Amino acid sequence: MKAFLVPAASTGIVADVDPPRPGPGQVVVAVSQVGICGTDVSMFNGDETRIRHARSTHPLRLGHEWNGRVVEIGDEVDAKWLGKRVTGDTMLGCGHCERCLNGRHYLCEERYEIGVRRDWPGALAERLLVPASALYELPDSVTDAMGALVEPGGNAYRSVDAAQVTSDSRLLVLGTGTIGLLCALFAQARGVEVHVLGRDPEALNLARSLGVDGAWTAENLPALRWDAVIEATNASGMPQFAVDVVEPGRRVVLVGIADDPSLIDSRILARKDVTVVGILGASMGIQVTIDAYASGAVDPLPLVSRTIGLDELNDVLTGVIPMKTAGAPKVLVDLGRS
Amino acid sequence: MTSRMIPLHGVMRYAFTSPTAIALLADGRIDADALVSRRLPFADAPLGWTSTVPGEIKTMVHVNE
Repeated sequence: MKAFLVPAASTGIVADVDPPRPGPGQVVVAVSQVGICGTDVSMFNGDETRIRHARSTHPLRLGHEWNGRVVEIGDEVDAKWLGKRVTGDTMLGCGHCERCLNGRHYLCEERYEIGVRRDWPGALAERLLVPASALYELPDSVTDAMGALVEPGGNAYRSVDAAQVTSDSRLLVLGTGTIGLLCALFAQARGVEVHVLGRDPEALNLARSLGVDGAWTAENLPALRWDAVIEATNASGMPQFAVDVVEPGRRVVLVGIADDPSLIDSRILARKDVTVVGILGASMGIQVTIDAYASGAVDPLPLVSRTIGLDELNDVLTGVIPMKTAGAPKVLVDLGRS
Repeated sequence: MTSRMIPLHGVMRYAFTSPTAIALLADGRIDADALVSRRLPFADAPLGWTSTVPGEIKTMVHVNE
């Protein structure tokens, strides 16, 4: 089968590799579409800290935002899965440690992450190996492109949930990438007044076209009361900015991860009685996201900049083909196209 | 904090917790007396700043003595 391999930093090739075989409790998925995420970009570029933290090695096999159809099942797997359109949880816990047993498998010390951690081969390939326990069925109303956007959607849903905003609240989202804009959409679906802060004028225009109440740059951000701030950038100074502008007694949610340590003055947290919450991964938000896409409460498709074939991916990751189009941040790879 | 999902709560004073705190003290579930390392009559209150004692935690000034 064809797969995208990263044999060294900033180098991607499409190669023939052996297709996976499903072991007990596992299925093989024929991959349909895959989203390219900031994590993929930084691992492709050889971010050594991130790769070491992920306990992965070259050649990397990336891709963790995906959907497809189950084409093979292993022993002990319910036959109902065969032929189903699915997406899945990226986070694969060991299943028997204390964290896994009390619902925090996405923080399991020994977890695999599909296409990210401990060399579990990713979805940028014609076939993907997944434990059946990680599968989520997609209804017909969730298209393949939407299916590839469930994983970032789950991160955004959980971030909005952690911000504890209600229809009386005014939320500021820092960052106009996929997660930032999805946070804005999930917050809108709750009736929250949503503002975004970004740098890219086209992305701010896209945010306005999505109906946000305000789209600002750091230079023209109004001095409003921000009942919650979600930090969804990769800039190391922005978590402190979030703490500085949030209303005292309210919440800051950190979902962006910078390449460098992002320091916060904890004295300000104490004096402002602010709570800061970290969010990692979509696990507990996957089904809610599928339901939101299926009902139309959230439509993620305006965030898609372009859909490419596997053969074009190296050009996108090396900058030959631009990642963004008219502010839209998300590139999808269609495995049926190449 | 993000990759380990650790919430960090800043706590600014007692915000509506005084009734709970008084109840805990009244029940004897918290022994606050153990934290009083020294008692001073009002006239000696300046010693609270100028003279420290070993193992000092909380100096209590009795304003009516």
